[in-house]
Amino acid sequence: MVSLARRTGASRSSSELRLTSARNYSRKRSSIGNSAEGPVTPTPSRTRSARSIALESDETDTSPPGSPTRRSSRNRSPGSKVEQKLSALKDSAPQKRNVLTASVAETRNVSTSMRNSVEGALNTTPSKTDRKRRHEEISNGLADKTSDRYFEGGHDDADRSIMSVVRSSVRQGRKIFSSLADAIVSKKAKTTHDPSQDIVDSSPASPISEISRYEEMEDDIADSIKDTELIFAELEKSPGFPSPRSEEEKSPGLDPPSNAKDASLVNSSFIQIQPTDLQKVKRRVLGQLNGRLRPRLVGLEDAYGKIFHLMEQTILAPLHAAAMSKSDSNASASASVSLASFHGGNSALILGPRGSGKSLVVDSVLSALKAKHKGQFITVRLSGLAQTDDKLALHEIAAQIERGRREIEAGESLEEGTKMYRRQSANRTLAKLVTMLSGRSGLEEANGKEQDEEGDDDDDDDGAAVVSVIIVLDEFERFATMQNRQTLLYNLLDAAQSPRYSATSSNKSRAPSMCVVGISSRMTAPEMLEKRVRSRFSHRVIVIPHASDIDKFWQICEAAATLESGASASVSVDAARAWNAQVAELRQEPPIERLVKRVFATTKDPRQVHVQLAMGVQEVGRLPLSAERVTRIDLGAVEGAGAMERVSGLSELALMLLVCAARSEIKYGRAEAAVATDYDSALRSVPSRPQGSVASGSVNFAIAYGEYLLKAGETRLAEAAAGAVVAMPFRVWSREQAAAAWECLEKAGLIQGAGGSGGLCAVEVSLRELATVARGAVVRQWCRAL
Amino acid sequence: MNNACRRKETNAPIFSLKSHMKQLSEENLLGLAREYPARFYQLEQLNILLSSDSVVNPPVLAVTGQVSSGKTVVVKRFLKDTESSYTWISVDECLSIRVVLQRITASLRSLRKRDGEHAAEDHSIACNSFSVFVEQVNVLLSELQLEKAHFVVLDRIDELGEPFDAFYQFITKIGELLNASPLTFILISSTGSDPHKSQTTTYPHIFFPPYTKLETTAILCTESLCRIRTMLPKCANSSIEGLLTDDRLMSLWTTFCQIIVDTYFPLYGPDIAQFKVVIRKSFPKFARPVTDGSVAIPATSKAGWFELYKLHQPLLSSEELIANSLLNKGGVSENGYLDMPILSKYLLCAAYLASYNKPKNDVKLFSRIRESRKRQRNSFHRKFKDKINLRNLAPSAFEYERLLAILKCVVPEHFDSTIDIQTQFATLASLKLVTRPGTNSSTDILESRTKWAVNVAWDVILEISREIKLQMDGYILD
Repeated sequence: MVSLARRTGASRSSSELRLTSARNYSRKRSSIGNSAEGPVTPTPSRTRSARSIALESDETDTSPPGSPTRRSSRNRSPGSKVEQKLSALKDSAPQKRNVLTASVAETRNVSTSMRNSVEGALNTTPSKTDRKRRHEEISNGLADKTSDRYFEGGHDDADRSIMSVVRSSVRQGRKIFSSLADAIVSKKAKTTHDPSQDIVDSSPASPISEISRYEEMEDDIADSIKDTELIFAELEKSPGFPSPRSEEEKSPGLDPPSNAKDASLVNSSFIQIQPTDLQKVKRRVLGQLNGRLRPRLVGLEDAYGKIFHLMEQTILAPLHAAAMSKSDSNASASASVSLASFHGGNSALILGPRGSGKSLVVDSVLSALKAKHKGQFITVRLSGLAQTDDKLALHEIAAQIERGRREIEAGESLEEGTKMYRRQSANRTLAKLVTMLSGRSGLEEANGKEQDEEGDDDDDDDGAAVVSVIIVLDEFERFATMQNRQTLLYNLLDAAQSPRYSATSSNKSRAPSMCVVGISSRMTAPEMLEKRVRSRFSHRVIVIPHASDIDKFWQICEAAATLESGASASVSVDAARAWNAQVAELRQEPPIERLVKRVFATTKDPRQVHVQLAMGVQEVGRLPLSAERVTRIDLGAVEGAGAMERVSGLSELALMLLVCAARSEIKYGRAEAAVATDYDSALRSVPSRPQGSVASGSVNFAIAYGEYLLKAGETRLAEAAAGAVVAMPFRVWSREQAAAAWECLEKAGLIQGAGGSGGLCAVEVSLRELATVARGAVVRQWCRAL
Repeated sequence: MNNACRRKETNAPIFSLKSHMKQLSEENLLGLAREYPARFYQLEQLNILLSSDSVVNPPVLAVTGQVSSGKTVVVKRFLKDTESSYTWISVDECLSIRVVLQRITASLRSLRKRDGEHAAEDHSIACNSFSVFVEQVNVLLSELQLEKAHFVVLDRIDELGEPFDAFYQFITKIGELLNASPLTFILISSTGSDPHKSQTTTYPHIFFPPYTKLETTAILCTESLCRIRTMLPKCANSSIEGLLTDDRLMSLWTTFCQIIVDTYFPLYGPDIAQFKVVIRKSFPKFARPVTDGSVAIPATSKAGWFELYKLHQPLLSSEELIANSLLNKGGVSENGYLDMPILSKYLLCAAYLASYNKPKNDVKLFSRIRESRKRQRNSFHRKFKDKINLRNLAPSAFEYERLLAILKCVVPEHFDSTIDIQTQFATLASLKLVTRPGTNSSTDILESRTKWAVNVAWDVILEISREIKLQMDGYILD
C-alpha cells in the first residue's frame, strides 16, 4: 500500500514538481509581500536559488536544506508521514482506501514512462551556464540590450506567473491557505531574511489543515481515475488549485535523490514543460494561431448548434424518408408534419464581420458531421474569391460532387462524372446539376432541347446511392454580385427549398437532400439578393457578432493559443495545463493588455492578436513565453503603409518637390482645396477617387518645379546673405532630375491623379503634416513660410 | 504558356527542392547581418517566422519596404541559407495574373518531375482562373505529398502589369482555399503593400525600413577588392600599380563612396540601385588622376583626398554623371536650336502664343492701338497676381486661322510671302511639335474646325525666339 502510494507521488512529481514548487514559492512571496520587511524584487540569482530550494523543501517537508548527504536521510521522513496519514485514513474511511488503491494502480503505469521522459528531457536541456554564456555572446555581438532582456525576462516571467497563481488561489479563498499564510507570517517575523528559511516555513503547520488536504487529495485521485480529462478541465478553470497536488508532491522524496536533483534542474531552467512536450504544444498552438488548425470555439456555441442542427437534418432527411416509406406507405398527418421540418427551406446565411469565426463554425460543424455521419453526405465548398463567375462555380460544384461520390463509392469508376464537369457547356452542366439536385424533370422539359440529356442522366443516376449534399458558399456576397442575374443562387436555393420525399413521390424522386449555407461578411447580403432569389431563401440568418466586451475578446484570442483537452493525444495533460496557465497569465502583462485593448478598440479581429502571439510562441523553445517577445515587433500593422511613413523614405529632392507641390496647392488651389483639413487630405484614399480622374487636383510638375526654383532661389540668397561658409551649399537640381523625383512621388502614391501632360493632380499630404516629418532645416523652413 | 516563361523555367533555377530546411543559428544570423547591414531584425523575424514545419508557418507572409531596401536579396539569401525548398517568381516579368498562376503551377509540377516520376505534363488545361488554379494546386499537392514546407515567393507583386487587387486578396486568403497545403506564400512589394492601403492585416508583415545615409555608405563600401580592381582604369606605369596596395585601394574606394553619397543622397535618397549605377559610371573617372600618377594616393593624411575632390568638383557639381537620358542634351546642334527653317521657328512661336493666350486678349496683344493695350495690361497684372502661371498648365487648343493671324503680327514685314506655310505647319505636326489635342486622332486633318496645340515647353520656345530675335515677353500675358 505504502509503496503504491509512493509511486503515485513519483508519477505526479515528475511532471508537476515544478508547478508545485512554484506555488510554494509563491506562497512564500505572498508572505513576504504581507510582511513589510520582505524584499520587493529579488535578484535573478536569488530567485533561482530560492526556487530550487523551494523544491527541496517540498521534498524534505520540514527540515532545512542542507548537504546532499543529509538529504538522502531526510527523504524518508515525508514518506513515513504519508504512511501514517494513509493508515489513519484507512481507519476512518475504508471505502476511500479502495479508491486510493485503484488510483495508485492506475497511475503506476504512467509513472515509469513519465520518469523516463523527464530524464530524456533533462539530457536534452542545455545547462544554465551554457545558456547564459550564449546570451552574453549575443548581447555583446549585437551591442544591444535585447538579448539581455530575454535573459532577465525569464525570471520576470516566472515571478509573474507565480504571482498570478497566488492571486488566483487567494481568490479561491480557501481556509487552509489563509491559515498557512498566517503561519508563515508569524514565523516570518521570527526568522531571518534567508529565502531558503522562508521556504522551509512555507510547509503546512497545522495538522487539521493537513488532514483536510489529504481528503482533498483523495478526491482528486478519485477524479483522476474517473477521467483525467475532467481534472484537466477543472484545473484549467482554477489554475491555482492549491493544496492536493502539493501534498502529493511530497512523495517524490522517496525516489532516488538523483531524480529529485534532475527535477530541480528542470525547475531552474526557463522551460516549465518538458522539451518534447513543448515542441508538440508549440506546433499545435502555432497551427491554431496561423489558421492551419482549428482552435476551440468560444462564444459560438449558439451558432454552432443551429448550423449543426440544420446540416444534420439535411443528412438525416433521406434516412427518415426511407424509414417512413417503409413503415407506412400512406403517410399519416403527423408524420408529414414532422417531415416538413426537414425540408422547410434548407438554406441559411451566416453573417458576421471578418474574423468573427464564421468559417470556423462551419468547418467545425462539417468535421463533426464527417465523424458522425461518414459517407452519408457530400460537402461542396465554394468561395467567391476563387469562383469568380457562375460558370466556374458550376463546374466546381459538379467536380466536387463527383469527387465526393467517388470517395463514397470508393472504387466504382464514374466516367459519367468526369464527363459531367469537363468539356461540357455551362448550360448543360447546370441543367444536369439541377436535375440531380432537385429531382424534378419539369425544368428540363421546359427547356425542351435538353430532353435527351435528361434521359441519359436518369439512367446514370439509377446506380448511384442518394446522399445529401451540403453546399457552403464562402464570400456569399460575391456570388450575389456576379453577372448573370444570380442564376446560380437562384437554382441552388430553388433546389434546396423544393419539396422532396413527399409521401406521394418518394419512390420516384431520387434527389439528394441538400442544404445551402452562405457565409458573408457583408451584413446587407440578404438584401443583395434579387426578389425571385430572396423568395426561395429560407431567411434563416445567423448573425455572429464580434465579441461584446474585452474579456470575451481575450477569451477568443486565447482559445487559439491554448490547447483544448484532448486536442492532440500526444501532448500530455499536464504539459497542456501548464501551457494554458502560461498563456492565461499573459493577459496580466501590460503590453498584451495594450495590444488586446488596441485591437478590441479598432478592428476586433482576433487574428491580429493571433499573429502577435504566434511571434512569441515561435520563440518559446529558446526563450520563455513573455509579453515582451509577443509584442516586440508589430507584425499585424502594416508599417510604411501610411502616407507619412512613405514620406520619411523620400529623397531630399522628392521631399522638397512634395513640399512645393503642397505649397502651390494652397497658393493656387481653389477655395475648397485650401480649406480642406489635414486629415481630409491624408485620409483620401485611392478607391474613393478612381485613377485617372483629374478634376480634383490643382498642381502639376511644372507648377511644383516652378515653386521649387522660387524657394531654392530664396534659400540660396539667404545663404549668400548670411555670408557664413556652409559645408554643403544648397544645390538646385535640374528639371530632368526633378522629373525623376516627381515620378518617385507618383509611384509612392503621394501625388494622385496625374493623368497625362498638363493633367492636374492632388497632393496626398498637407503642408502641416509634412512639417512634422521633414528632416533638415531648409525643408522645414519651406514648410513654414508661405 | 508563352515561350518566355518556359525558357525561364528551363534556364534559371527558379525553384530548389531540398530535403529539409534548417533554422539559422544565432552565429549564422549574425554573419548574415554583417553581410547585410541594418537588416538584422528582418533576418531575425524571418528566422522566427519560417521553419521547415509547414503547420508552424503562416500561410501568407508579406514583406514590404521601399524600393531597393534589400527585401529581395535578404529573403533570397535567407531561403538559400536555410536550405529551404522554394519557388521564386518575379511577378514583374509576368504580364498578367494568368501567367503568374501558370508559373506557380508549373513550378510545382517541376517539383514533381524532380522526384523522379516523369509524368506527362498536362498543359491541356491552361490555368486561366483562380478556380482552376486552386483545383490544380490541390491536385498537385496531393500528388507531391510534400512533407516539409515549401515557399512560393512572389517578388515585386506590385509591379504586375494589370490591376492586382483581386489577386492580392485571393493570395492572402489562399490558406483557406487549399486544403492542408504546405505552401507559404511570401509576397514582396514595395509600395505600401496592400492595394487596399490597410493599416492592419491578419497575416504577418515584415517591414524593411529605408536605409539611412550612413547605412547607404556602409553598403556601398562593402564591395569586393577584385570588383574594384576591374573598375579601375589602366595604370600609367607599374610603379603606380605597385603603390596601389589593397589597403590604399580600399581607402580610395571608401572615400569615393562617401563623396558620391554625400553628393547625391539629397537626390536619390536611400536608393542603392541608383547609387551603384552612378558609382560604376564615375569610379573610372574618379580614379584616373591616381592611376595617371598626377595625384599620389595619400596613406593617412586628408590633404590628398581633398586634392582629388577638388579635381573632381566640377564633375560632381554638374549633372553629367546622373543624366537620365543617353541622348545629347536637348539635341542642340552647332547651328543653333533645332535645325529648322526660320519660318518654322516663327510658326512654332506663334503656335505657342496662340496656345497660351486667350483669344479674347488677342486684340489687346496684337493690335497696334497703343492706349488700349497699355491700360489693359496694367489691370491684367493686378488681376493675375495669385493665379497659376499659365505657362505651367497644359496648352489650350487653337484654330489654324488664328495661328495664321498671329503669325502675321509676329513675322517681320520683309518676310517673303511666297513660302508655303501649310507645308511647314504639316512638318511641325509630323514632328509632333504641334499636336491635335484630344484622344480621337482619327478626325480629319483637313476639317476646318480642327484644333491644334503647341507641344513645346517654354524654355525651348524662349531659346528659339532668341535665335529669331522675337520678343516673346511682349506678346504674352504673365
